[in-house]
Amino acid sequence: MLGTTKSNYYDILNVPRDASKSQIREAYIRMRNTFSGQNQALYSLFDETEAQAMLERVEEAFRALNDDQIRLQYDRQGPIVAPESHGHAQEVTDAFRGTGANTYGVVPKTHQATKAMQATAQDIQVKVAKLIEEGDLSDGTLYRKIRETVGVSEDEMQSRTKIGVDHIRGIETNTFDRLPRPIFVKGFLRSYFRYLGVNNSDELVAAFSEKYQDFLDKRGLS
Amino acid sequence: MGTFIPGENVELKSANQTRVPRQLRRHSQILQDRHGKWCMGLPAYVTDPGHEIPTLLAVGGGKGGVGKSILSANLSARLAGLGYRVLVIDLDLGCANLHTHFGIPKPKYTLANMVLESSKTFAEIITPTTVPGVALVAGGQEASWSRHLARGPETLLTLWDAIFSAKRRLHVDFVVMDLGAGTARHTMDFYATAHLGVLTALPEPTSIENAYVFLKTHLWNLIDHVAVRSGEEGSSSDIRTVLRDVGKNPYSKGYSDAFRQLSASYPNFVSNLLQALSGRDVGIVINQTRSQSDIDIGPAMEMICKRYFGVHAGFLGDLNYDDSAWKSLRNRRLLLNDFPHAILSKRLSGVTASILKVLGHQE
Repeated sequence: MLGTTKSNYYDILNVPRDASKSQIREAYIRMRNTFSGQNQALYSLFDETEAQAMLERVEEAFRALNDDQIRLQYDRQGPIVAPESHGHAQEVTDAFRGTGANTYGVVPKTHQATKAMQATAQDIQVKVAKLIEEGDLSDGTLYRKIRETVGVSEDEMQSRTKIGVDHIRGIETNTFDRLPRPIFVKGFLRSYFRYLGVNNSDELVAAFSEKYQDFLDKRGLS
Repeated sequence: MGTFIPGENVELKSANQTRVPRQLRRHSQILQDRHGKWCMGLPAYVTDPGHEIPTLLAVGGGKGGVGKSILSANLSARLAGLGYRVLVIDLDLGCANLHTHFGIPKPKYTLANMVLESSKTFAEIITPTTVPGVALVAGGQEASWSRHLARGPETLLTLWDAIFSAKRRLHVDFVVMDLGAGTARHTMDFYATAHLGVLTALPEPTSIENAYVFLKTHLWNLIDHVAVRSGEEGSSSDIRTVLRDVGKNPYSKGYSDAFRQLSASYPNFVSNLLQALSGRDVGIVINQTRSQSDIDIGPAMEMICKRYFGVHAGFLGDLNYDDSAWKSLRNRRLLLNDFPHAILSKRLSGVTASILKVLGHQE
């Protein structure tokens, strides 16, 4: 049973040390859902700042464990405890652990790891920002590139956002015939970009909608 | 024919009795293994009833109107459908209405006859239901319940005995205890006694808040019980002082963290408390879900209970929002009988299966 003081990445995500990548990803999504401000389950126990702090640590843990190299490095330095040098680190004397089979100390955030982690996250962000800057905002193929850069498959997108694969493909190939009414497509795009972590997606959504509307208008005329 | 008829000499059979293999009708291995731990969390006035007791389920949740009774009634019916013999007891004493869920307008005898008047025995107040394999003990709506209960939950001792001996005397496999709203002492004591306590909540803030309060009260209650059982009432008062700050301090990291710190100074007590906690299960059911995000509250609450309270409260499943629940009530028929093909009925089966799995009654 876990307390919130723990900073061990595996404990934060609540996965075993030998968890597979997909297990880690699943755990991450679960944790993100739990602590993203809108979840009703937080009510009366965690306020927004606490949830936000938790969320940040979840993101940090996921970034580290999702990267094979960083994870390997992290595992090697595993049981080192460095309480003084890092304010938040604290020794774990966890009565709730039971068997003690998994008693790893809290691992300090090493400087290299932090840097590398930020690099991966920033890398993606920079790449996505560059794509958006250079691309045609109304072009569905751009969205596909963004999705692939972030590393989300069609299936994952479908299962997490409930947008049908057909519609995802329709959007990403600008095949307007395959799309429902614009008002629905707007909603799709919003959740699409929200899931990909693209902030300020309004411009993109507006551009695509405008193009779609144009298409419908023209078809209506002919 | 399959109804559950009171009386010790009557051979009581449920319709599908043959569907449950014989070995499953015994107390499950999991429950036997952890019997000692379970006893650690029993109220002080209850003595170890031994192994030959029915599996005890409690349905609670703090807030009223979250579906405790409808879940109790239909859960019982599902269990019976699997071949178990189920006794469902309305423990919303004074405000009892579980009989209405079974379409029984006015039960002839209730717990009031047994506990308040002492004029009937437990076997005599059992009311048959239309569901084969399920029998009901109605709660009674007497105003004098509140005065009686004010004298302490010890006044229910005869009821406790009857529940524990239901296996031996009436061959009951499951006792389902439908608890009242709120966190009254007797409610919490019944919850603490259950092998699995269901925590029912709706996807709305008031209900979630109350569910957490209920769980917190459960934890406090267990601390009381453990204190008496382990004879460490002294250290328990110290512990209570520490835990009181958890609620007050907005920056506190929760109970599980406090326990971790306390385990250094009070290793015995904390270890006993952990035993009591692991000797019983808590399961979360989210009722009236309208969307995936409503359902997601379940796993999220599970995680939060673990992190904040240090209590493992597994998510058992959700029940979707469905007018059939309301319609069946209006028809005064059991939901499962009235709308057997509603998605809600299928979800109820899912919750039942999770419960059996948690308790080790099914793979």
